[in-house]
Amino acid sequence: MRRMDRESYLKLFDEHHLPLFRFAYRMTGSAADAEDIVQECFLELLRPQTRFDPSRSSARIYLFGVARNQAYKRRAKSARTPDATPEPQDRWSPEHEALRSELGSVVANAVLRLPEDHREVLILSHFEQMALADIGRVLGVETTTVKSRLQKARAHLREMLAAYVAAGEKTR
Amino acid sequence: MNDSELDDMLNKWEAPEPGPALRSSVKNAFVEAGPSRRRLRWPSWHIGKGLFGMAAGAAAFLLVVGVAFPSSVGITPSPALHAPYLVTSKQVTFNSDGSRGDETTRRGYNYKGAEIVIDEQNPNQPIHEFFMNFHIGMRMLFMRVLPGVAIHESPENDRKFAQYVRAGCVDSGDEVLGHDTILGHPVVMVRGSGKDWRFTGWRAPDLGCFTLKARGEDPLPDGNFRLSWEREAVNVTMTNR
Repeated sequence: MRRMDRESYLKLFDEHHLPLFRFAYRMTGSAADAEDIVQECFLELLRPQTRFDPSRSSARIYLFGVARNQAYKRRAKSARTPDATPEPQDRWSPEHEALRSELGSVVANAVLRLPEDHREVLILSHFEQMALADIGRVLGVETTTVKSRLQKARAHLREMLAAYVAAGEKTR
Repeated sequence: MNDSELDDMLNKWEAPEPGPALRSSVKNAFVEAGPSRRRLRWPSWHIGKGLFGMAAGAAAFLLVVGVAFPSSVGITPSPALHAPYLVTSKQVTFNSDGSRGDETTRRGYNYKGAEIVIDEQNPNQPIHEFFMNFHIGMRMLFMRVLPGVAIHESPENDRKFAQYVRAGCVDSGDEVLGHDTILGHPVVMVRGSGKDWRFTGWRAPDLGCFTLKARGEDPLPDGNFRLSWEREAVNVTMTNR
């Protein structure tokens, strides 16, 4: 791909950085990692060997694909480091603590406990409102697979969150 | 828990905003990435750099030696460097309303019918003057170290030039208008024309057919011609070299 001009590049950034950041944040549970991932996504567009081809896929699909791969890379890297696999709640930075309600925190922990292939589908579908076919393009899988993973993710979440709801009702 | 209740719960999980520095760091990355180019992979890139460095060094060395001691590297400077005389000419271009435009002063001589310019002055267009003189300097340098590149010599060219001189500096297609004398040198006045141009030249056989005066004209719809540029020698110096 020929390198895009500065204006087009910044326009792409302005259009996509927020959804990418939210997605990366919800995949990793870390705002710092999410910022790094967003940077990586846009650096990827500048590389001479970038695979982005506007005639073949949209920038949104491509960038989400890069963000997803980056999130996996970070996960694999931290898995190789001893004592670097904390529980989800340990991965929250204190500066964002104030942003979350108790319920939000519970939901976050539950989503972060989902298997990654279920979590990414749930995040893209629910939080980013991405169509199942587009999610399939980002992940490189069939739409039916996306649908199946989404159903499993939601069923799993229901179980986890039902326990919280039941505990809340008991205390009332 | 139904779907709607699950969605409501999921919506409680808010994501923070990214830091304000993110945009500027992505913007800087664009600047640092520079113009797009396909980079060679290691070791090709390093080998390429090395080869380029060696080639540039060798070329610079040969250039210095070739200029200072041409015979030591087997180079014979072009005979075109020999200037038997120097003609200083002034050339003026004319605007479409007939007013005078750009004015250039040029010094040069002829070698086998081709003009060798040694410098050019154009005070109104210093950038143009700089590039012209740079080009002239490079050509002179090439005539010294790579004569075959700067001047195309061939027996065929020599034969044509000899024929041109024998014909009194009249080329095929030229119309002879008359004879005159400019700065003490006899000249033949010739004219050539095409669909959208007309050229008139005063050529001096004793100066290797150097054009001591010339005029370029553009045809007008009414059949007349408009003077577009004119050149005239103001001085001829024999160099005794």
